[in-house]
Amino acid sequence: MEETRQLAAAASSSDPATGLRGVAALRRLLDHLEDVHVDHARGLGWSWQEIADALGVSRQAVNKKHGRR
Amino acid sequence: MFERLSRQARAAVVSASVTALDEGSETIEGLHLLRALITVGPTTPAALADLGADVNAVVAQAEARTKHASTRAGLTDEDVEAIRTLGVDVDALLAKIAADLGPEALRPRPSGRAGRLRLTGGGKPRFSMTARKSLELALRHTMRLNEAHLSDAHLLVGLIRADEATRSLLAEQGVTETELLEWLRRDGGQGGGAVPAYA
Repeated sequence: MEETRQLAAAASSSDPATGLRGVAALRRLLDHLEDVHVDHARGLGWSWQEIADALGVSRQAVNKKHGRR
Repeated sequence: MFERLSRQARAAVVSASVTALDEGSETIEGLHLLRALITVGPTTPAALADLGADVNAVVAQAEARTKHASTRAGLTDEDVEAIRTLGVDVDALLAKIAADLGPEALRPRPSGRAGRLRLTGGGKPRFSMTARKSLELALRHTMRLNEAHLSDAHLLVGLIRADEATRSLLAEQGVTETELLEWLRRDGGQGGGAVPAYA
């Protein structure tokens, strides 16, 4: 495990392709995390406005992204 | 793009999208396409077998890897490695989500924004980034060879060039891009008439 981590750290040191690929993958992961937590909040009865406030975006933005499902 | 595909290539894309749906995957991955190419045949299984790969093992591995991704927020092993290089431990993060919100939270959302396998305008299913890149490279390959249709063989070339998951899986089986192109040039002619000049 520690070895893997060191390999990964070495891979990130200078190669832009590695860094950019990481960013793209992390963005997909973040999108997923947002989906999961928005679903969770809706399940607990949160309003779109409350979710938007917590995410720091407009209600319209949240609704457009996650609404009508 | 879809209208440029040969009948075999089209069948492979359709088969891959069905597989992706069945697995609950949010996207059609390169490995879904690879499996589909093997199922649709005959070029891909013939090429892989001739080049020394265990075709059944390729199918089993491809299936295991895409299914694994579908229980890990849709992330492939390559994605997880890429994120790790940024210093983020994805496995720890996902384990925490599963602990807090239940393992179901790790499945790509089946009907949400990111989780929907859309059939949008023109009947185009949603491809993963590398699967789309593979199709683009396959199309470029087709045009360079001056051929009318993007064949299943061209699609395989696109995959091995642009889809890291396909390239590494085939490399484990001893199949490289160079060998594949060589095989196609030698044995991959669609029969009758000129053998396409693979380059």
